[in-house]
Amino acid sequence: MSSRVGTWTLGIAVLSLALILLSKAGLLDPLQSGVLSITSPVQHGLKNAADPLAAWLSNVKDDGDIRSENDRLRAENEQLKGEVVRLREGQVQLQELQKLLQIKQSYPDEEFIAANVLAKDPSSLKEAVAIDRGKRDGLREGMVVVTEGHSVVGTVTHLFDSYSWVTLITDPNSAVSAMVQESRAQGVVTGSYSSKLSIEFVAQGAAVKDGDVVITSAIGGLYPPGLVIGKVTDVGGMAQDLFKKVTLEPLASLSHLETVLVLTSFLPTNLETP
Amino acid sequence: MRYVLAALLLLMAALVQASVMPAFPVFGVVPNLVLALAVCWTVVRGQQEAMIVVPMAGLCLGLVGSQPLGVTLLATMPVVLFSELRALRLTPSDFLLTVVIVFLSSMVYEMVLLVALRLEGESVGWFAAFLRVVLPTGIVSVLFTPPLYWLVRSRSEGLRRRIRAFA
Repeated sequence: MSSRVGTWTLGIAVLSLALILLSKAGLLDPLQSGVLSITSPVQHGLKNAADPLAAWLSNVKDDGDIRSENDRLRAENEQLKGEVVRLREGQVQLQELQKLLQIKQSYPDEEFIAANVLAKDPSSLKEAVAIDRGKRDGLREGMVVVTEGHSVVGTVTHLFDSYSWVTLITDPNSAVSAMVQESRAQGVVTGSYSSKLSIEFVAQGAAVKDGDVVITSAIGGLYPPGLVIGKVTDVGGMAQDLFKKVTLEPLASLSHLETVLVLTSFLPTNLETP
Repeated sequence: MRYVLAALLLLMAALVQASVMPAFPVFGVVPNLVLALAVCWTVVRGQQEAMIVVPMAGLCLGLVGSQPLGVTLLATMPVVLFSELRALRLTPSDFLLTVVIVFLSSMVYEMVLLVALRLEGESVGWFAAFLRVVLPTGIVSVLFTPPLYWLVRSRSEGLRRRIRAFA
């Protein structure tokens, strides 16, 4: 290695460390925020231009399944419409009963802030998206982010003045206390490097089957209970295993997020051990 | 002028990598276009220009990502060090050397990012990350190298012709 390259290497290493420290101190936030604001229309344009091709490629790949899936979805839609009507009736009754019994509601006046997704982290090691809301809009680290259909997207992890990074539930470092809605089996939904979700620590004896809906549980205090995470796609593992191997797919289309809602009325609780 | 062109190309590659490529994942990962472009520039235009262009690539990646700005700068640094391989004449063609350096640099880049994540307190599954992200990113980045190499090569030859004609 020539002395010129050696000097350059040392210089860049020092510059890198200086930038890391400045970045950690928040001094580079205006620069990063500015660049993201300027480039986000270009990124949106590029993404919108690429989406039809991506959709077409996906259709070509899944052509055989589309018709049968369409039929299945029609039947499911029919069934869900009926269920919505019944649930609305149940909701009215529940509210009346809660008033009578003065029970604290699970969703005390939900308040949301809508945000546009500006960008996605270009690294395959992180599953994160940038949104156009930050400290200025009252966001705080740990706030839960959901889709317009109220299924979980992730949590706010890095805050800047006018934007923030949201770590998705598919990130390898994400862990969400969850339960299977049908059997109430508890577990922890974790992400992975392959962007797939799985539920850890589901007891071997728990009744879990394909298609079961997985929702957030109140355990841990990081997520409000009852938000939809996804559907079980596979249940495996050996009978002698302590826990079941359960994989699921997120209900939210996390790779095509455009608008999300930040739940501002719920703040995570850092529970201390007794 | 050449550095302005390089900066524009790198910024465009960073935006494409962040917005378009996630819609077309190969082996579940997206290629590191910015790094591949920086390597192509290094091999075609030489180490002197690489000393300017490679840090530009690191800053571009940092500006569109969630990592602290200096981490990506540090992670792209090995490209210049790997360009020393050129002097050893290990490969019969520059293109083959580009492919080798893209593969190695992409993997080193992801490993540096993993170390940074670990130092930030995140838990890292080293083996899973290597199998599912580090190695596939190296391979996928290589797959996207030929058009980038052709782009830099043709631009470079065009620039040389214009300089010769001017002289």
